[in-house]
Amino acid sequence: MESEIGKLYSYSGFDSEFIKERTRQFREQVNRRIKGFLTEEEFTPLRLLNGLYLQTHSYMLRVAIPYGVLNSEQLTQLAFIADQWDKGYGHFTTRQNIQFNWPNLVDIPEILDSLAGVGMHAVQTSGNTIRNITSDPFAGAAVDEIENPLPYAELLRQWSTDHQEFQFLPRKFKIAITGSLNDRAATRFHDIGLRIMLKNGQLGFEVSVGGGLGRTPVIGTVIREFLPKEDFLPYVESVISVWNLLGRRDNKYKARIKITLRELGSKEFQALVEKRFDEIRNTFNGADSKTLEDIKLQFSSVQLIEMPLGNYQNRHKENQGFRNWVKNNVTEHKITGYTIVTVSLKTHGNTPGDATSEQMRMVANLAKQYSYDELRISKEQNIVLPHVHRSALFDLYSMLLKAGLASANVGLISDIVACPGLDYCKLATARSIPLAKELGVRFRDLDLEQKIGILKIKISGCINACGHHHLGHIGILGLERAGKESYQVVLGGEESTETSNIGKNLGPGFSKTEIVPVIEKLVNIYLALRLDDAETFLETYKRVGITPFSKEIYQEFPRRKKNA
Amino acid sequence: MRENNCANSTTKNKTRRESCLIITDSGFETEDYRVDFIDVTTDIVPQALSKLRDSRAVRINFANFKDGRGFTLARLFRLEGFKGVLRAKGDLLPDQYSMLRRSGFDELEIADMVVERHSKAAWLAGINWHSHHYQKRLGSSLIREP
Ligand code: HEM
Ligand code: SF4
Repeated sequence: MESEIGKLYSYSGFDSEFIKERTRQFREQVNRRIKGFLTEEEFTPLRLLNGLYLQTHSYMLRVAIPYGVLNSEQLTQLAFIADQWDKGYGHFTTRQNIQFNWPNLVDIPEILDSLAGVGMHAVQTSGNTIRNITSDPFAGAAVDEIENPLPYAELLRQWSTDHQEFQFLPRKFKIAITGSLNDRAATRFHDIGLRIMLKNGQLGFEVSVGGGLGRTPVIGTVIREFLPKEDFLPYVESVISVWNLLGRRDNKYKARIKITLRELGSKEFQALVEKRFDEIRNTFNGADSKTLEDIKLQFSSVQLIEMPLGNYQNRHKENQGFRNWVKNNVTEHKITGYTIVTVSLKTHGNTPGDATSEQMRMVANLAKQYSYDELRISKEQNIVLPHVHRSALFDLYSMLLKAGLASANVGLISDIVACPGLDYCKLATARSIPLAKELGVRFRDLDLEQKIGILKIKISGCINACGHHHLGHIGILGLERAGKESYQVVLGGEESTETSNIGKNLGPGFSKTEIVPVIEKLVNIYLALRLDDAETFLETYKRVGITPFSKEIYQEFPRRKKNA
Repeated sequence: MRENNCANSTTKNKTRRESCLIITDSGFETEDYRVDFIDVTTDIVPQALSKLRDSRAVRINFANFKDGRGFTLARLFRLEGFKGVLRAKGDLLPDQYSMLRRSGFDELEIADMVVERHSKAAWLAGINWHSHHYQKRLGSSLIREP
């Protein structure tokens, strides 16, 4: 038997032409800046629209990985760019992008050209516009999927690219889309979250608005329980159209749609959106639905071939390391015999999300050999091989082991999410990378990781929350107090839609030397409290609440009255 | 060609008489005809703008180049059926000309000093605003062909 799955979208001539033209325009803009025709203030939003940031040490280029999907040629090209123009590595982010931290301004147009060569770009990865659309890293492969969200994500990408109305929005705008019951895209924490739904046999979307993290974490509000799929694009446009006129432009901390919703009231906002939707719906002449059908076709089909399991069962029985890896890093696929493999970029002691060019090339080759040439980047900053047959798992594991990429820690305490923090980011108030490294090493040495089970640690280097700390089972926020780094701990965050929760503050913060022992203590409190091995940290926390944790922690780490 | 002055210039400096250029698809023009424009600013609510639907000429004044409201206002105004001349005014960037046109504006009025600073070549490059246009392909625009 053969089963079809949707495969990668391949760029049409139009897409390639667009990217070429866009790169040419940016080259011109850089020239105009150099000649002084553009002031720095004018150049800034233009370079941001092309993914170029100015950071602590140099420029940073953020390359879009649309909805987190890549093929091996593209990943190989990213490796080439890392070698040619950076320091031999790249950083995968929580928003399914890759950042290069050390490029020179003069090289940027050339880098963009080499991206364009493989159908990639950095368009709208920053700036006050509609950003890279994020989606489920298991899309098209997940067991619990209602429909593959990727064609819709691609339609959104095309529609939002260079959208004439939405290049100068009040603030950045992020959209996430998922097609599964289990929300692996954190849709409720996006400006617009779209979840595919079935209602009376009809396909549509639940639309939430105004979710987000940052200094004001908010869970999105559902403003449309069920939107028929034909109305998808005009409805999204209506939301942004309403916000574009009403969003605050006088204060950037109040500009995000979540604040507009709060100031206006979600009922009022919803009414305005529905009214706008009535007005603009008819201007969509059906070309969007046709394009969607074309996109579905262009996600050219691959045939997943049914095969015997080979040596899988024996290896699984014999090899403890392999067994652990399968348990933590391999997920069921919707097609029998196939699996979804997560390659952990969280080798203990490494920088979360960093991959060397050698590792990128290696994983690209493995994807070609074992996963129908397809890769995904997850918001947990790992790489996913979405279609691997069980019979190939041991070979794949052995190759990863050789490359130092076989850490069996997906979802475990060392699978830490962290933003760049003070080491790179000029907004940072504390370091996050060294802390992530230290925690990884500490729990490896304790050899407790497998025993602890699922426990997500997320670290941000400042209140902007790029490291998703509000969503960590244990979240860590690095702040600065009296010139020193201070780390605040939040507990109980989670991002699945049914039970989205923003983490609760444990209490006063801890110094750089205290924070690792504090986390270790939290884990020990949990291990003592849990009913049995199967009860996860989050379940224990929900059962007992925050008090047993805070009480013991502050007994052991008492805060002095002044300047804790 | 005679020099006109930017009478309703958005700049606060009222004492200086600036001269302006009009940028259209055929290049640069000085004002050589007199339509009376009705001036509005970008904080106008859509309902108020829609009352002007039957006017001959409306000018939307942008606060600055980061003020993206004008684009959505233009789109909604055209949707309401406005058929007259729609002009943008303000210190926008050459790169924004195509966005203006695609949103429903006909032309841009801008101080000639600003035009010069950006170089005329940069403005002329923006005039090719139809090509490479995703939104038109998706049928979501109300662009009037020139
Ligand atoms: C190093 C340069 C970076 C800068 C200057 C930066 C800046 C910011 C700022 C200012 C915010 C707050 C926005 C708001 O609340 O309105 C933010 C949010 C966010 N950033 Fe970053 N960021 C950077 C890197 C990253 C990286 C590396 C990631 C992924 C690992 C990331 C992912 C996010 C996410 C997920 C949010 C919160 C979601 C939301 O928008 O509410 N950012 N960023
Ligand atoms: S959370 Fe703060 S420190 Fe970390 S990347 Fe974002 S802005 Fe920088």
